[in-house]
Order: sequence, then structure tokens, then C-alpha cells
Amino acid sequence: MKRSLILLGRFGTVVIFASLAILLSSGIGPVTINGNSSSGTVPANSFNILQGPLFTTYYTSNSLQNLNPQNAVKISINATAPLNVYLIEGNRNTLENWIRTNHPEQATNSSQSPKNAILDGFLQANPSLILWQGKGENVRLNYVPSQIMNLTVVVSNPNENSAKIYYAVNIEYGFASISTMRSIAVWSLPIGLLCSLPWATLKIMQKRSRQ
Amino acid sequence: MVEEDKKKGKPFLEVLSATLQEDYRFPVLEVFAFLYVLGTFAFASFGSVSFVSQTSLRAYSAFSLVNSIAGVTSFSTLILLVLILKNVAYGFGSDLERGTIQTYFSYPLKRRSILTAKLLSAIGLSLLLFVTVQITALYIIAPQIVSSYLSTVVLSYLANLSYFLIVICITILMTLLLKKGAVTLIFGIILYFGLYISVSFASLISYAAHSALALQIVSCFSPNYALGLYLSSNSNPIFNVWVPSYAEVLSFIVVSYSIVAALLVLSYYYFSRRLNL
Repeated sequence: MKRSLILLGRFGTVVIFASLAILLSSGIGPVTINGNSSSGTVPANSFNILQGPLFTTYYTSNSLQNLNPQNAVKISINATAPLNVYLIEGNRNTLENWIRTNHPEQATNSSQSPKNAILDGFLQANPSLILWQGKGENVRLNYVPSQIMNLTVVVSNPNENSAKIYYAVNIEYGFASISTMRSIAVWSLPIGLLCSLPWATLKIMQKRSRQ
Repeated sequence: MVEEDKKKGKPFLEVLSATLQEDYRFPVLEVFAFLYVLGTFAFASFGSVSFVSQTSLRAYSAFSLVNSIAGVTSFSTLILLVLILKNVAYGFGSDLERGTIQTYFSYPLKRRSILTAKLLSAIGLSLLLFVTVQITALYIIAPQIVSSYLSTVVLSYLANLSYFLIVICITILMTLLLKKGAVTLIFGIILYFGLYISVSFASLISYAAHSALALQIVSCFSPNYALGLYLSSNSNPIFNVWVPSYAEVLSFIVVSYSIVAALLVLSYYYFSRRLNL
């Protein structure tokens, strides 16, 4: 048997086995590793962050800290009025520090939710930090970070009346993006089969002729 | 001259293909490829990065990701160890023990070329498969981190593999000296874990004594330690015994590969000049 044919054939079989392993790995679905659900009220023309109000040192949620590409953040928000939802890169300190610097009066009055104009100012000053934004009474988001990052979910109420919200934030862990893994396996499997077919056929023929 | 080189090339390829067939009978390579892929996806992790300063967080996470799949005790590395020890210690050792290596001496080749063919087959192909599978998997898991911190990823691989290669090279030398397959296989496994335990002990002593010397000696064999300390630039004073510079990390990697090269030269010398069969 020609050396090049053996080389191609064995390369093909290795690709087949690797594809099968990728396919198997993609079958192991993501697992929820952290999650909570809660409810709250967003006052009229104001904004707040999910998981605790701003400027509170006693409440620091770790669930949205140090997320990586193996995590998926699933957020669902149901509100009694249409709200604006922003997913911002960075932890709550990023937003709080900006407010402290640019609107010091707000930081001292932590019992009141900041007005939307403050959030608009922050977003205009830091457009690169907005990872996602949406609007509605029912908002669903499935976000996979591309880097190691902290996230903050901000909900702003543009209405004249306060809105009640019910939200759930879940963090899932998976090996990698299932769709990417499956598409790689689906493409590489036929390539492997194609490469190994001549070698396998010759091998079978050799075996038969020997018998 | 060109004709002579061509004539030399053919017997070398003959020996290489014979050793490849011997080392990787169907489906050895395929099963190991399957295990590499599965092990890489199942055990790849960014680890705990909470103690790392925010400035070096992303670079450290790239290092941590590589460490989880190519570290000394990671699943894929242990699989690679099994495959290479099977080829080097058991396969090559048994050839020397039974004298079947002499069939290769009938080829018009120098002894060093025969050893090169053996090592290319036993170590080269296994490492190529290992690295190819892992880099592809890393690109699937975290494409942006890998492309943004490619130098960290490459350095992490170099730092992780040097310890592995030192152990393999010592095993090759022992295989040539002892000429016994099974004994050197056990020796290789004991050496791998024994050296790892002593490296861990040395680092513990270093932290306890607040002396950087033990860590620096450890880094000559396992530059991974130095790279980890450089990237984490630890804020915890217990671990802040020694924070190496980038140049120091590079020099430790060079030192470790120099040890690998020296061991290989010794093996070549012994195989070419001293080995009696």
C-alpha cells in the first residue's frame, strides 16, 4: 500500500474519532451553577441595577463577577410596564464611581433611585460598555461573554408611573458553544470519512484476498 | 551530493514508517485522539481567578485555561504521558531488550538517524496530535482570549511541556542504559510523579521560609511556576515571596529547554557511540 494513502487514511480515521469526541462533548448540555430570582420596583423616570440597589456596600452579588466564555448568562425580566434593559460590562462600581464623580449629589442620597438622565449621561460617556440593550415588558436575554468580564444589568423605567418587575438571573456552565461544536463535528466527520475511505477499502480487500 | 541525500532520505523514511506502524497500530492513535478531545473539553477551565489583580486577570485566565488542559496533572497530559512512555520506554526498550533494533542497523543509516526516526515517531507525532487538538479546542472554547493572549498561551504551553520533556528525556536515557522496556516504563511513571511531588515540596518550603531560592530552582525544571507567579503578580503576601520579571520567566524557559537539549545530546551520544547490543 502506498505510504501517502496510509497517511491520508490514518489522518481520516483520527479526524473521525476526534469528531465523534466533539459530538459527544456537545451532547453534555450546560448546567445551571448559580441563579436567583427576585422582584422589585423601579420608580418613574429612574433606573436601578438588578441584584441590589446602587450605593449599598452590604449587598454585593458575586454571580455576575468574573464570568468567562464557558458561562452563559440567562436573564428574564417581566415588568408591569415597558422598561429599557441594558447589559453593561463591568461591575456596579464602574457605574457608581462615574455617578460619584459626575453627580456627587446623587451618591449622598442613596435611598433614592437615580434619574434616567444620569444613566443616559453614563451611557453616552461609555458607549463601549453597552453589551446589549432591549426594551419591553418581557425581556429575555442569553449572553455568553467573550472574555473574562463582570456584568451589570441596569433597568430603567421611562414611564411616568413606577413599574413592578420580576426577574431571574441564571448562570450556566458549558464546555463550549454547543452550536460551534456541533457544526465543526458535522463538517469534519465527512472529511474524515472521505480521507479514510480509500485506505479502509484497500485494507478490507487485502484482508479478503489473504483469506 | 544531492543524489546522496536522496539515497539517505529513502532509508530514513523506511525506518520512520516502520516505527510509526509499530508505535501506532490501528486504532491506537485514533483512541488517543478521541481521549485528547474529550479530556480537553471536559477539563478545560478558567479556574479561580478571584485572587488575581484586575489588571492581569485576562492574561492569567489564558494561562489558567492552558494549565487546566496541559498542566502536569491534567487528564490530557497524563494520557500523553501514557502514549509516549508506551512508545519510548516500553516499545523502544523492548526493541533494545530483544535486540530487534538491530534490524534497523541493516539500513544504510547512521545510528543517530535511527534514533531520530524513533523519537520523531514516539514523541513528535504524539506531541503534534496533542498540541493540534488542544489549540483547536481552545479556539472553540474561547476564541477571543486565545487570539488576544496568544503569546501567553504559547508561553504557557512551552512552560508546561518543558517539565514533561525533561522527564521523557531522562526516561529515554534510562531506556538506553537499562535496555529493559517494563522497568523503564515504571521508572518513567515514578519519575514523573516523584519529581512533581518534590517540586511541590520545594515550593512549599520556599513559601514557609520566605526564600525565593527553592522556587527559582523549581522553575528551572518547571518554568510554569515562574510564569504563574509573574502573571498573577499576587496580592496575597504569603505567595509574594518572589515575583519574577518577564525576562526571568523567559530565561527559566530557556534553561529548562537547555536541560532537555542536554539530555537529548547525551542520549544521542550514548546511542551512537556507547550502546552495545
